[in-house]
Amino acid sequence: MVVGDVTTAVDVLVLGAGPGGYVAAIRAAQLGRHVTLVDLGAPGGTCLKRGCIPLKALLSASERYQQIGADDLAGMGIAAEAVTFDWPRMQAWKQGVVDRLTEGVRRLLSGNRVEYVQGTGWFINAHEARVEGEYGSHHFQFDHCIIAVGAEAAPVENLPYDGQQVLTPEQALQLAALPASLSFFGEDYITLELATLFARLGVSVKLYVPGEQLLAGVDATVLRLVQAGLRKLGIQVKTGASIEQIAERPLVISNGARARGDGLHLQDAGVQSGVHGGIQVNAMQQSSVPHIYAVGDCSEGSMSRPALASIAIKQGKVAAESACGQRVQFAPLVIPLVVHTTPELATVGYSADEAALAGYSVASGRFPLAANGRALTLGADNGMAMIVASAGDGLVLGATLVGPRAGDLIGQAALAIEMGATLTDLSEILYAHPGLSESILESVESALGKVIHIASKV
Amino acid sequence: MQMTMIEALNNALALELERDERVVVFGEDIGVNGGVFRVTEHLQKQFGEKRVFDTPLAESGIIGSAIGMSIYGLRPIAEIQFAGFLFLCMSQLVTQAARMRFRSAGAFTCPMVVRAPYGGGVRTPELHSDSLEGIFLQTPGIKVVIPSNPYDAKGLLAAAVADPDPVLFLENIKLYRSFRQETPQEYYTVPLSKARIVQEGTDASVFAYGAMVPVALEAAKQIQQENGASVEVIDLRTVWPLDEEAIVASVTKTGRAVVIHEAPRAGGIGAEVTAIINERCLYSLLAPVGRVTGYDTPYPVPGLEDYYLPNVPKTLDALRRVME
Amino acid sequence: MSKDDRAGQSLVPLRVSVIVETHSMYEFKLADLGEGMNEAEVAEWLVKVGDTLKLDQPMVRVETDKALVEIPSPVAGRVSEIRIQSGQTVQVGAVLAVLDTPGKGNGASQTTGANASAAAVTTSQIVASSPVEHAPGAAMPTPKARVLAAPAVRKLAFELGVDLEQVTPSSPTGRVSLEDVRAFAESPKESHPAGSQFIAPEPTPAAVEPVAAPAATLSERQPLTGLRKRIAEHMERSWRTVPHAVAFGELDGGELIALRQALKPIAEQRGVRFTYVPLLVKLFIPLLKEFPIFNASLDEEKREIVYKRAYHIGVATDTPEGLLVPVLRDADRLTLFEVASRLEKLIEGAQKRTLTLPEVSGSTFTLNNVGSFGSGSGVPIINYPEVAILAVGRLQEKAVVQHGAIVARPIMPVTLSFDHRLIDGALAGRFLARFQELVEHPQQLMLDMT
Repeated sequence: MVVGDVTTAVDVLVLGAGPGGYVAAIRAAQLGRHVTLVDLGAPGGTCLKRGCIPLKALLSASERYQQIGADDLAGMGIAAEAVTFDWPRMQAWKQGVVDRLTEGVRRLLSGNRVEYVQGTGWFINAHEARVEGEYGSHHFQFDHCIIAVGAEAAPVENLPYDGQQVLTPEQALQLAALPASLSFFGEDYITLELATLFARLGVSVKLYVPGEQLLAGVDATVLRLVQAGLRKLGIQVKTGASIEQIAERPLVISNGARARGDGLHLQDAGVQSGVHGGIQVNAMQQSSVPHIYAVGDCSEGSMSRPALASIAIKQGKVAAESACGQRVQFAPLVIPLVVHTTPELATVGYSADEAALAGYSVASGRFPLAANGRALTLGADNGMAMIVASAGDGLVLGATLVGPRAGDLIGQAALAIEMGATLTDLSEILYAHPGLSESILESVESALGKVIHIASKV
Repeated sequence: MQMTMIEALNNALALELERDERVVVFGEDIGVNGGVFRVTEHLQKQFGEKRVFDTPLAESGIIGSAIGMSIYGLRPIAEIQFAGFLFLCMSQLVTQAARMRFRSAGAFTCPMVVRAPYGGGVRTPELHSDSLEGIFLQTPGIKVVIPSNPYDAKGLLAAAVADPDPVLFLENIKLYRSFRQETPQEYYTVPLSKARIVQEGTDASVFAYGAMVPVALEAAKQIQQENGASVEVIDLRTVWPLDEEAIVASVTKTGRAVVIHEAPRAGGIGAEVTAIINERCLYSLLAPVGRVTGYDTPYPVPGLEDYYLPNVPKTLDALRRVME
Repeated sequence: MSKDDRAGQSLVPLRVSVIVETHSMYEFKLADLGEGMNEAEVAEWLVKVGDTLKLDQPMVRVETDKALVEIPSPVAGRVSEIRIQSGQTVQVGAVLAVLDTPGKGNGASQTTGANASAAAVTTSQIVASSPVEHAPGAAMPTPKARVLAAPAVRKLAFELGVDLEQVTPSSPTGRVSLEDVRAFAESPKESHPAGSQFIAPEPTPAAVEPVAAPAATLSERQPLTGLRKRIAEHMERSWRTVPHAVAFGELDGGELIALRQALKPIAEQRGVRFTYVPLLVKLFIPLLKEFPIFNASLDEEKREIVYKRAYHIGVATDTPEGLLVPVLRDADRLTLFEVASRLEKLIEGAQKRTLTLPEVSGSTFTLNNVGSFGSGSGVPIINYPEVAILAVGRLQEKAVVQHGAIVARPIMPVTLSFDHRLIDGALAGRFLARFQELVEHPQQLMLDMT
């Protein structure tokens, strides 16, 4: 609006166009509502523009580069000489992927007639918000609001991020030039993936882990495979580190995320925050004000969850459907977690220890990828499949996969757990052969005591 | 379909352009940009540059062209970007458009519509919120229409285009996007010079138009909660010529009247309604007619707007006074 | 046999049934009790874990809405597990106990010996290797029995406000289906509070409950169980559903006393106690025949009055555990003596809780002899689904005015509670007046004696 301050009535106002926000906007539009989506920049959020997608793109590119240089190729009779990479070109390709996805989201939004406003918004009261955009100020009166503003890197005391010497993961992904060496502080999947990515490209990487263990809650055998993979890349790992003791620079710190929300004037709307600083919500994603919802990294439910885009996406749909009067809730039984190291790791549900802690008597089985035909033909047999079930009725409780495409295969296990499948159910169906999924089958049969492809002790 | 007033007007214009090839729409920024309030959005793309086009920054030229076009057989819908800019084309409007039929004894007429946004409460700079309808009350030959909701806006605009004489169609900026209403997508008209009883009552009549209709309704609700009074609220819709029958019928029934408008007090619609009541149903009156209006000053700066405009408390005061 | 190997499913025969032991487990489930009962409360176990049972040996007593039922053991064997403790309520079909019986069992869950020990070893190894942080002294938690329901079923349950744990799965595998959820949502909830058990969304995070010391005992809590619980539910329902109105009367009991005095010794010679109650019961019969609405019920669903042609008179009786109403069936066809005789047996049975279902249900009109507890009068609650109940108070000498003079007369106060939807005050008044007339001149019964 050029002149004056006209109030616009809107059914659903969505703040933040990341995976939580844009999905919520589209779902609400599908359900017939007039939706306005507000974001500071182009749609996509942290995931598309600064986080998941750029990271996975660079991981894929670096993996290709590394695989060409590896010994396996010679073993297959392929000789590759003088393979080089150009970091700026790689970054440009990464950006191309990001742009393509962002453009796709933009088209989806306009196709669903979602009004997109570029700017920052804040609450005036529980029913009105102001958005300061490039063309002036907007005043909205909304029936429902979905807050999906995400989170940013949690600050570290006395160590401000400058994007050159002390970096957030996002800043690391945007480095214009590759440093000769890079240090990382953290223990989550982001730290491991970043370390892996840079190490593959020849950067000398040191990994400082604050605790005693790299990924909390993951089975020890599995972790050993991952750690071996890191070592193979030349990454030096030091556990029990404290951040003040790290002298090396540049240093990338992955210290967790802090929910955004400072500029929103939440108190003016009566929206309360939780103990971790996120917006407190119930299972229907409602905040303390019933018609204002929050989803994704900026929200905080009754159980703490990792900050994942998959969660934000589902919560966005729940919030939109809830705002349109449906009775739905965010209540998955399990959340799959994937780490794109070499080898790749994916886990869902309980580990054997967690299941025992929960009171189950545990039946578990494992199967080494070295015995899986497909893994061998891929030349990537470093890995294993692990299944955890309840001993009494065979109910599948968890699975961990290490190896190629683990992140894509874990969905089978997630489905099995959600559907309440038993070991017998999994062992009854047919699996494509040769296939990596067969490792799941064999781990199940191992748990049932009848695995075929492991030699029994004579 | 649920529409804001903007969407309803856009729909009305599209229907007019479609059903009558003589209709043309023009004004400043309305073609390529779709209008500063987006009332004419997408119309140029749909109907082409010959039917929907941008004009230079010259109000007198806009209205002058409209007069010429309408005399020679087109049905122009001209937009003046803000009602306050009408002053710049007064000569064209008042000395030419308003008098054409009179002057030529019917040989030439101007079937044209002039649309303009008006109204306060939206923090605009000078001249963007002025209410000018009072001036046109004293300009015989021009009708003045002011809708208060999307449904009426669409139907009244269609009726205005169909009218054989000049119509000034004033659109309240605050109401443009402030709520949605169920509005049919097909063509329909709402008759000019016919008021609408929004809410029936027996103890007092409140006459309002534009953004004051919601104010009147809220005041009526509150006073009913306060002392059980049943207030009749009438949306005048066309302020010139007024629906005298509706005014008289209502006041005869209730015996008390209040008029609300943003425009300044002196010589405004309130004064006219009071005079009509005086002439035609004085003996039904139980109390003097109350007026809740803007002050007799130029429209103020945004910081003082809220003090200037009629609001619910001022309306309640007036209602209490007439009901003493 | 592992529970994974489900009997009765047609699967490609790839499995090998492993029978390690010659014994099998028999799951003892709560059978259908009839009369539309779908739940019962375990009142008392007559055996304990480890006991050896013979076939048909009495095993457990369960309490339904109406009666206490003793269930004999369907197999011979040893009690391996008792799953439901006394005081708990279960649905028909729930497993009450597991018996170890020679020969074929019925597929109860039991891991094979080998697997069970392997699992046990795994568990203990895991527990030993990683020092686990429990709240000191807290026992290992038992895993919450998870309802097996696919995501779409869970979604529907939440949408309809159904608590999945309450739904009985129709599939033999124990999986809850969409139909199960829908059926549960639509069923009339007599035994459960209607649909109120869905997981309500909470805006605040669940607070961590501090382990508090037991509060100073200013009050004591006791759950409603058994007969008390059933009485409470019955009274709640009656009071909630029926608009009660009350009419009071005072009857001259002189003639009644005289008649009873005359008949009592003869009845006792024949071995039967003779109180006023049999007389009152017989006096009801012509009354109910003349005022048929008092022997009716309102079908609330169909909105129809059901006039009953049978006359089953309930007699409210106090027992050590609470109020029971044994029923004199076809009281119109019983002689006065038969009424007295049957009544005596019914009351004895009520005291001992040995009455069967037909003996405590089906009444069409109820008499509440509050006078027998020494009460002057009282306002009774209608025995739903009847439409009226008469409370008869203690016969007492009172001063009344007759023909202008004060005399002492034996007065019996009566209170008629009636369903004001079907019976108006005037009719109730006429009913009481006729009752008064009958009670004050009881010999007229003889006129209609067959």
